[in-house]
Amino acid sequence: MNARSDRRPQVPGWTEALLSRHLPARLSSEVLGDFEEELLELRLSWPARHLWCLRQASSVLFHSLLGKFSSPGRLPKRRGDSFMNAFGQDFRIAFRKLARRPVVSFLALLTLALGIGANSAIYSVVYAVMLKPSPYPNAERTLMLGMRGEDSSVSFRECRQVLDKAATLEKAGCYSGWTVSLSGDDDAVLLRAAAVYGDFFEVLGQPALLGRLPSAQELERHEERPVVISSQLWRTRFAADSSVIGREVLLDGSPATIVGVLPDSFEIPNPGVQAWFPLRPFQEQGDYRRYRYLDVLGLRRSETGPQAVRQEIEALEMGMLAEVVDSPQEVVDWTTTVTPLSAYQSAQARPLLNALWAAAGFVLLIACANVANLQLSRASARQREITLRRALGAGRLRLLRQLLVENVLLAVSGGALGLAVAYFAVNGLRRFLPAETPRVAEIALDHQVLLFTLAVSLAAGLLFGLAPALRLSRRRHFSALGAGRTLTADLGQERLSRLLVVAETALGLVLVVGAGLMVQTLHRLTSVDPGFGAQGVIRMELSVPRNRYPEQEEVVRFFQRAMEEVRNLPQVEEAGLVHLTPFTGYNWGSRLEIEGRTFSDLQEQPMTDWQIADSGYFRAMRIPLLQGRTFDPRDIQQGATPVTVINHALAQTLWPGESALGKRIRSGQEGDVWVTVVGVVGNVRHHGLDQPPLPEMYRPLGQRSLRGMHAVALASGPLEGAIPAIRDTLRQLDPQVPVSHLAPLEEKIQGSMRDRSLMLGLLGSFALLALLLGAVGIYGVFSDGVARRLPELSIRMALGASPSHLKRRVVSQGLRTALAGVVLGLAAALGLSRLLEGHLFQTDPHDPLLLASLSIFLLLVSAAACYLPARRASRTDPLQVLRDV
Amino acid sequence: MAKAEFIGEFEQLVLLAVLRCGEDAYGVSIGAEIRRQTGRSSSRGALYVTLERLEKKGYLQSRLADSSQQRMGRPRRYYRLCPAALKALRTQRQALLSMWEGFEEELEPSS
Repeated sequence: MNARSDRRPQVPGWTEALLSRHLPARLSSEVLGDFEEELLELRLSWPARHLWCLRQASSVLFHSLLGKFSSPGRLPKRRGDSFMNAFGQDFRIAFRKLARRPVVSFLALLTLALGIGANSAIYSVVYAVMLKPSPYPNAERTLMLGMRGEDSSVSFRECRQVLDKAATLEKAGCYSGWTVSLSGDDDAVLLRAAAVYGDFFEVLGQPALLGRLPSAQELERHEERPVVISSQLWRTRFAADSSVIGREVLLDGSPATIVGVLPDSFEIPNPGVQAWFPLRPFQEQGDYRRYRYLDVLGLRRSETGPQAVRQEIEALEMGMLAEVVDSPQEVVDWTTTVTPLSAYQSAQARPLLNALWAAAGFVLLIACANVANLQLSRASARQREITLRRALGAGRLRLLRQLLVENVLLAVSGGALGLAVAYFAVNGLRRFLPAETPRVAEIALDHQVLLFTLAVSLAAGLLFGLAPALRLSRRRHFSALGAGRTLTADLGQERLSRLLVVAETALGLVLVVGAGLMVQTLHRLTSVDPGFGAQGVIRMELSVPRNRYPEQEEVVRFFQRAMEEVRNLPQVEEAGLVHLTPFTGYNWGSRLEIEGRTFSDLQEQPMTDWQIADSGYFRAMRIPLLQGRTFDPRDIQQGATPVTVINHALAQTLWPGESALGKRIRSGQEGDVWVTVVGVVGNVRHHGLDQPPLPEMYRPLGQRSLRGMHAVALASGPLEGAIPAIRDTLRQLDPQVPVSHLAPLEEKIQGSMRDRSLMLGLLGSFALLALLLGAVGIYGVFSDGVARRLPELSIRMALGASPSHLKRRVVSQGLRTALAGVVLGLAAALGLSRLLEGHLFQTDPHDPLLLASLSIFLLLVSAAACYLPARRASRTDPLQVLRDV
Repeated sequence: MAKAEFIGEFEQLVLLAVLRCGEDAYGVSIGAEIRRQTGRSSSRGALYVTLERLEKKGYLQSRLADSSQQRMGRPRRYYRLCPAALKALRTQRQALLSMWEGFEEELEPSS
C-alpha cells in the first residue's frame, strides 16, 4: 500500500464508511478507488460532489442489497500458466495456423528444405574432409616438412639429416609415392603404393589392423622386404583371410613378405594407396639437389611448437647448402615449410569446398528472404487476429514468442525435409568429388550434421521470422478491428519487402556470375589444344617384373615385341610407348647442362621434363614433328650415339632463334651422358589443359628403359573393339606382366577437368535454384503490392490512366528494385571473385561483358516476374474494386 | 471454461467496452467507453455487478495494479477478455445479423 498523500480525499468520509461496511472488501476498495479518480477528474465543488457520491453510492448499494454480490468466490480457474504449458499451447496454435494455409506453408517448407538441405549436404562433406579430427593418434603433432622452391620434395640426404639431427622432432620418417606391381599367387596387378623409410609408421602412430608395422631398422634391412597392405587390398585380393600375414608375394618381381594390414582410414601419402614397402634410395652423386623425390613427416615434441621445428630444419638445410654452394644465403628461391597434417591433407579440397559453402549459404539466405516475404505478405491478413489477441490479454512478449514459435516450427520442419534433400545430395556429391579428396568414405549424415541442420534451422527461423514478428506484434489502434480496408498500403512493410527483394537479387546475381564464370572457364578449357590427338587413343600401363626379365635388354625386347603384336591387330592403326602419358599428373624433371655453356649455380640451370619414348608414340599420338627426325632402329644398336628428341618449348628455351639440331645436352637423370638433339616435336600439355606446356626431352627406348612404362594405341575403328583385343594380345604374350588402366585417353582428359565440372555443376544448380526462388519471391512481393494497391490503382484508372501505363508503372517499379539488387550484387561479386580464382582459366572475373550480360539477364527475369501482377493490375475493373472498399 | 451461453444486452456492452479499452480496461474507463459509444450513462452498480458476474462466468479475468496517489493508494482492477467471451460475442452477433438479414433498408435511419 502506498503511503497516503497529504491532500484531502475527494470522496467524503461518509461514503467511504458506508461502502466499506456494506460491500465486500475487495469491491469496496475498487469502487472507492474509482470514485476518487473520477472525482479528481470532474472537479466538482462541494455540494455537487456530495450529490454525485450520493447517486453513485446508492446505485452500488442498491444492487448490493439485491444480493447480487457474492462473497469473493472462486473465479474460474485458468489452466496452469507454466512455461511448458505455454509452449505446448504455442506449438499447437502454430501447427493449426500452418495447416490452415496448406499451399503457402508447403511453398515455404519446400523453399526452406532446399536451402537448408543444400547447406547440410555441403557441411557433411566439409566436416568429414576438413573439420573432423584426424584419425591418426599423433595427428596433432604430426608435421609435413617441405621445401618450397622448384618442387617441394627433398633428397635422401636431406631426409637423413632430419632423421639424425633434428632435436625438435621426436621421430621422423620419409616416403615417396610409387606404382608397383603385385603378383605371386594371382594375376599381377598394378598398385598405388608408397616407399617408406625411418619411423614413418611411428610418427603417425596408427596401429595395424592385423599383424604389425615394420620399424625403422626393419625397413633398412636389405635381405627381406616387409610390406604392409591396405585393408581394401586385403579384402579384395586376399578375401580378408587372416593368414595373409607372413605370406610371400612378389613386388615388382622381387620377393616380399606381408607383415601387416592398415585400416581404411590410413591415407598417407594419398587416398587410394594400397601398399607400403621399404624405400631403396637412389645413389646420389654430386649435388644432392638433383635427386629430390621424397616427402618428410615428423612428430614434433610436445613442448616445442611448429615454428621451432621450422627454424631448426631451415638451419639444417642451410648447413647442407653450404657444402655445395659458396654463399648459401644468396640462394633465395626456396623456403622451408612446415605444415600440420590435417591442413596438408585437405589443402587441395579446401578452395573447392570453401566456394561451395559460400554458395550454399547464399541459397539459404535467399530462401530465408523468400519465406520472410511470405510471412510479411500475410501480415495484413493477420493484423486483426493479432490485435484481437492483444485485446484478449496477450502481452507483446507472449505474442512475439508465439509468432516466433510458429516460424521456428516452420523452419525446423523445413530442416527435417531438408535432411532428405541432403541425403540424396550427399550421395551424388560423394561420387563426383575429386579422387584425391581425403576421407571421402567418412562423409555421412552423422550426428554432427544433424546438429548442424538443427542449428541452421533454428537460426533460419529466427532470421526470417524476427522482423515480421516484431512488426506484427507492435501496438496498433483499434480501427484495425473494424471492417474494411484502408486505402493506403502499409509503407513500412512494403519497404521491408522491397529491401528483402533487393538482397535476394544481389545474392542471386553473385551465384549467377559464379556459374557464368565456370561455364566460360570450361568452355575455354575444352578449346585448348593439348598438343596431341586424343581421339581414338587408348592408353595403358605396363610393368615388367624383375624375376622374369632381370636384364634391361630383356625388358626392352619385351616392350618392342608387345608393341609389334599390338600394332599388328586389325583394330589398331599405330602403337607406341612412353614413360608417362600426358595428364598423368606428374613427370620426371631434371636440370640440364648445355654443351658450351656454364652456370654459376645449379639453380640457374634450366629444368626439363625427362621422358623415354619410341617413334611409335609420336605417330600414335599424332604429335607433329617440327624439325629433324624421331627415333629409328639405328639408335638402339650397339655403340650408337646417345640421342634425344626435344619439344619446341625446350628448343626455344635453350636456343632461341637457332636450330637445335646437333646440339648436345646432359640431364640430371643421366649425369654422365651427353645426348645429341636429332629432332624437335610439338609441345604437349603434359600437366593439364590449364598448364602451359613445359620443356620436355625424350630418350629412345633401347638407349634407356624403365620397367614401368605407359603405352598408347591409336584405334582404327571403335574403341570398344580395340580394348579387349589389346588386353588379350598382351595377356597371351605374358600373363605375368600386369596391364592396368586400359582405357581411352580422353577419359583422362575429362578427368582432369573433373574439379571444375563439379564446381560448375554445383554452382549452376545453386544459381538456378537462386533464380527460381528469386523469381518466385519477386512475383510474390509485387503480386501482393498490387493487390494492396488495387483501390489506389483503380482510382487512377477511373481518372483516366491507361492500363498499359499502369502495367509499365508496376514493371518499372520492379525493375528499379531489381536494379538496386543488381548493383549491390555486382559489388559483392567483384569482391568475392577471389574465392573462384584458383578454378578459373583464361577467364577474367571482372570481365565487363560477362557481368553486363548476366546483369541484364537477371533484370529480364525480374521484369518477367512482375509482369504477371502488372497485367493483373491493368485488367481489373476499377468500379468493381472501388465498390468493394 | 463456460460454454458460449446467451449473454444479455448489457453484458455484451460491457464485454465490448472491455475489448475496446484494451489494456486500459478498468471501472472508470469501461464506464466512460460505454458512455461514449452508446450515448448513455450506465448505472454504476449495474456495471460492477455485471463485471463480477462476467468474471464468475469465465468471460473476464481481472488483476489488481497501479495503486497511485490519485486513488489514495488503492489499486485499480483491470479486466480482460477470455477466449470464451469472444466466442459468445461472435455467436451473439451472428444471431443478430441473421435476424436482421433482408431488412437492411428498414435499418437505415431516416434522413
